[in-house]
Amino acid sequence: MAGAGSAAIVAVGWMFGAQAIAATTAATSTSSAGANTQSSASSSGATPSASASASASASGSSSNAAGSGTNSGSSSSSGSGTTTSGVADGTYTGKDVFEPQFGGDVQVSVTFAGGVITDVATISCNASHGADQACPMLRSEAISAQSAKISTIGRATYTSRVYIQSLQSALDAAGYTG
Amino acid sequence: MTLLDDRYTTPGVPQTVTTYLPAARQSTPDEITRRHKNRMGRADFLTVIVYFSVAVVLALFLADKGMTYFASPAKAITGLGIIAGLVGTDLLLVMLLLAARLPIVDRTFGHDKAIATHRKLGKPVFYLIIAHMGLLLIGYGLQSASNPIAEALTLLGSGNDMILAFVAMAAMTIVVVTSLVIVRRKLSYEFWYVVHLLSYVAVLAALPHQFSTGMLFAEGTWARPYWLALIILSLGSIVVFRFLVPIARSVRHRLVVSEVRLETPDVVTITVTGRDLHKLRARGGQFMNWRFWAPGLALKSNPFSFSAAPNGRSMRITVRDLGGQTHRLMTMRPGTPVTFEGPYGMLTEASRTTHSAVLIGSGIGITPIRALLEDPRFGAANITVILRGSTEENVYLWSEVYDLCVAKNVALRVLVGHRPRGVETWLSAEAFNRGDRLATLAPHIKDSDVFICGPTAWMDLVVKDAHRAGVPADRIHVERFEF
Repeated sequence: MAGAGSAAIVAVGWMFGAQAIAATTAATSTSSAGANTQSSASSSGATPSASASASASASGSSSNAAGSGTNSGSSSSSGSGTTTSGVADGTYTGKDVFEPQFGGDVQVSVTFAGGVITDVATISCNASHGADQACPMLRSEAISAQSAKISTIGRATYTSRVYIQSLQSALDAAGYTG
Repeated sequence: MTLLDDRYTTPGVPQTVTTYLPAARQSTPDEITRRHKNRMGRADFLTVIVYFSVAVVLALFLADKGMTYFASPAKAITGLGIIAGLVGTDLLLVMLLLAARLPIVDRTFGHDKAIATHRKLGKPVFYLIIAHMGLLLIGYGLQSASNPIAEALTLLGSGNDMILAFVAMAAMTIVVVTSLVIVRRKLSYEFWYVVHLLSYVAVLAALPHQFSTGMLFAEGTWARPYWLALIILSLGSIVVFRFLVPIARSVRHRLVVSEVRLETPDVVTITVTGRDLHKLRARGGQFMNWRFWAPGLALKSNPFSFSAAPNGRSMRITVRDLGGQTHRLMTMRPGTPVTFEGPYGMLTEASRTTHSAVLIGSGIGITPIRALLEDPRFGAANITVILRGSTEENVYLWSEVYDLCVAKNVALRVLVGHRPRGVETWLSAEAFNRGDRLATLAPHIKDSDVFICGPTAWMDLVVKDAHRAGVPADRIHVERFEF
């Protein structure tokens, strides 16, 4: 009886854990999906100023091909990005950084478009209950700061530190100096 | 068969059992069965709670996405380390509860069994906590590509909570090692006591890191209040039942020594009186830890069984001079104030499972047997009392037992004389050579509860004989006086 009851209790715990894991995976995928739409929105929102001049120069240079014009527009926008940060468009993956105090780990990747950080995706954010909520907060901080020089989140100091370390390693991989 | 040896056939007037307790009538077979059933129910309930508490911490670990730890070998080591810490600490709290003198534990398992279980858990808990530390150092080390010692230094550098956790580990190691040495070398009780105070240090110092570094019990989780409640419950039980209740009882009942009577030159019977003693619900067969506030005695309390059934007005113990404090008791004066912890113990009428009984006592161990027999509720068609002593004088209180046996119509066997040399037996040489066994001394033993009190090694032999006679383990009731 004690054995069966204990097994049932453990099973309930397992069930909750499985649910929590499913919920986090769903949350990260939706949040990253959300981030994608947001980043595309922000990039489309952010590009106008850059692409306005770029498209002007593009339209000035070649008006015969609209397609190539948009192409050159985007490339020139990346070109103009290159002039500011020198980072080629693409996604750069940071190190999986282990957090010794809690036994968690954090790994992020950074997406550059037009020389600016358009998204920071969380590949893994294994931390304690409260602390894994720090990752989305740190993400928005990083995007708005456009660097890894962001402040740590209260009650998630250790998680914040490794998040920043992983972010910095991604930026280093991109050759981004902020 | 020695049935009232001729040397002892000077029957006194049967002692009238005066009692001031309510409902002082013999238990009916139905009552005995019902009480036994209730007790078995409680025992199952408490045992199940212990199993469930282990299951709950495992469940909490899993609910906190614990299974993700087993994705890689390094993380699996970390996960196992966390599990070891959780289960180890849970059982450590169980150990505290077992030593806390919780009334329900004492009434269900008996104080001696609770302490025996407490002691049995000591080593496994220690190994689990050691494993907790070791596995986490290795696991973290593997994950951060550093060695466990460097990892330990990192952890030590991460704040006061982890420093305290290492202090706790050190304290626990000292407690366990000295406990083992004490058992082997028989070091003094006082030394053991001081060392055991360190275990409080271990438990308390380990707490902060469980709530700060231990991510399972982080703020805002369900696990946090649960764990906190467990800790408060177990530490609180110790404070309440080991300190506050005894102090309150001592203050309320104001025990004072009223009579000191030498039975033989080395055995003394001490009677104490106090206020509202019937409210203590003390039973014949139980013991208390007594502290006599006289020069040379007040520093330490000693466990002594009642040598007469507490009758609501007075309580009585009979003590043999074994040197030290017991020697000073021989010359104690009436009027000495007494404080106490208790009553404890399960060698009582309440732990009977059936209507027949065999009571076996040796030497000074006869005292609780006598008190148990005197309990007004204790009576049955089939009771046999067996007393033993190396000499006639060592069959302490025999004449009082004789009177009680006459009054209660109980068979009495007295086995006098040394045990035979080179033979493992609890019997006197005479009885042994005659071919006596428990089954011949008490033919109804198979259907009886067997109550035993005497020296530990001797009791073990009686228990063996009882098993051989077909007595199931739950009908054998012994009281062991070891700390």
